[in-house]
Amino acid sequence: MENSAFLLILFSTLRLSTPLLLAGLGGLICEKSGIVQLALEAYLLAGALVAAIVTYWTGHPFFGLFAAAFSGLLLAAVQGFFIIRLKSEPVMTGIAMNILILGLCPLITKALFDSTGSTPSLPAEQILRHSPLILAYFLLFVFYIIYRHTLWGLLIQFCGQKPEVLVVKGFSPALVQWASIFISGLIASLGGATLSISLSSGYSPMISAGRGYIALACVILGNWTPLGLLFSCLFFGSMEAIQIFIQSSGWQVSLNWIQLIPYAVTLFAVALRRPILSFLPRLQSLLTR
Amino acid sequence: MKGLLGFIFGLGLSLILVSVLGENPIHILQIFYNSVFATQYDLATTLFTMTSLIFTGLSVAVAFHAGLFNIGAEGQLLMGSLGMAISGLLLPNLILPYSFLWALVLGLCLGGFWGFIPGYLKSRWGGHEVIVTMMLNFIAAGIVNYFVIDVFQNREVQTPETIPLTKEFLLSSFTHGIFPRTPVNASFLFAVLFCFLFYVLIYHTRWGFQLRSVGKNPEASKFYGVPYQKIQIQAFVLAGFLAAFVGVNEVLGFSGRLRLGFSSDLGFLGVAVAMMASGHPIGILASSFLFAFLLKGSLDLDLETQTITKDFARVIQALVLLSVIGFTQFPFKLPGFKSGK
Repeated sequence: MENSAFLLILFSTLRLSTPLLLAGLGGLICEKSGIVQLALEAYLLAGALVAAIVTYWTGHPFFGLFAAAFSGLLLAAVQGFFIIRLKSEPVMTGIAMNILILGLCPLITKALFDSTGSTPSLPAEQILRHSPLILAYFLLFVFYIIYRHTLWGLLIQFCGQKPEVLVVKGFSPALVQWASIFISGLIASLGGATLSISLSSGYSPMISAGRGYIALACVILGNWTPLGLLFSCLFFGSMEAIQIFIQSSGWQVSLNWIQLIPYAVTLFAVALRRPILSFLPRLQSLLTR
Repeated sequence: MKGLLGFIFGLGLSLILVSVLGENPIHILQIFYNSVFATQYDLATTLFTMTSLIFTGLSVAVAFHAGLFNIGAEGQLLMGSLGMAISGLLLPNLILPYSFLWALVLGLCLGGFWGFIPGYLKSRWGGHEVIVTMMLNFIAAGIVNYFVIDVFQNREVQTPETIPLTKEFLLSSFTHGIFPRTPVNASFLFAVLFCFLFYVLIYHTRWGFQLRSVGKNPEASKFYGVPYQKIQIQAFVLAGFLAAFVGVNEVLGFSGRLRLGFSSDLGFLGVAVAMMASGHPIGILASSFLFAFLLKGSLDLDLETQTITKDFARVIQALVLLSVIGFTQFPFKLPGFKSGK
């Protein structure tokens, strides 16, 4: 019994960390190129909605994934236009986009399905099982290689830290930022697609439940590195898995409080990042003495 | 001014969208106009919303001047209103001057505390204030849910709301009959007063100067010995207080109870209000009226038209917010005119 509960939590951790990982990867790329990415929530919601609709229409989840990616590109074009072209405040732009999508999604479901914000549920054979997980780890691996070992990775890093260098070397910082915001939108909306066609069967209102912000917290907590991102996403995934496990195990705890666990943990994690980071070297010196 | 241009552009954009969906834009504008100016009651309701928006706008603006983003006005106003709504239920036997003061103090303390947390975490431990305040919004919503539904639910009504406060706790016990039978109450006067006080505080006091220097040039202000971390915390606590004043308007001034979902994104609209006025308190007076107009008008559109729902109102708000943000760098550089490099 003990063992099976542990395995259950382990598997659901892997599954639940997938959207976080994808959204976080999108956020990481964007942040690395010097743009604060707060619109992850918008990408997740848009991806989730489009994937659910297209899967419902075509009957094949892979079309849903492609459509979600396309919607991410569209949104990224809007975000890039504001942030890169009009040089508007990225934090505010991100939040405004989140509100925009939050309003648009119920409108679309109402227009298409005449429902109050959810799409018709998909049959079980149209739900992706393991492919999003594999896709997420594959993309993380590819990003790691590109980031560490290619010119593109170098360009993105310089773009975030010293854009002057790019100008001197004859590259356009704006172009690098455009590229990374498009890739960011594409990957983050794939994360949204996994929410609706892999973790659940269809889009429902507030399906992302703040995961966009939690994903950004994962990026920060992972110290803006791909591996750090992976570990912090797994950590948050496990928090969510434990939350769901507690809900299903029938303990007499108020649902209201259990649902707050991921938010509270995110808060503490973001708050305690620097104290812990500054404590680690001291711990190391204590241990090696 | 740029903000106003953005507002008009956003409104125009939404009107185009509306006409694409098959409504007559002239008709929409008429509904907008009527929803604010048709009767005295409509105008009063708009002013009531405007009061709340002034408070959240000032709350965002004070953090804005210190170079911080207060996305948490929503959580702060929820906690403040919660404090005020339960104050009278915790100590029901207080007599008049103390009862109101107790409600005010409890609400402001909770709101201020909800502002203190991100301020402290940001300045001392370097936690990203946007994420911290966002999470605090979710947590505040959870706490308010718990208190409204599980502890102080009013059993006599179907909607989730707390037991109403007795007369001693309400603002109307001081100000009989200034605005009879309308939602707008004395806190509107407070809000306008606060705008002017805020102007003096930010632009004509030592603290305000320090606050702005922390926002504009952190390195220089550190160099000149401005208590950098203290100012950041104080700015956030003040932001929390200001947001909590929404509770004075809503709970103590009008309904006397906390209704779940009374704040239809007032905190986020506060961001838009402050952005549009670029943090200037007198500008906030104007921009909060425009957004109250937008909010009230879009709620009436929900009632009076077929295609436009409450969610569409949110889309309109977001479009206006986006174009306000987009217009902050208004004289856009055209591709042909690259500034000399």
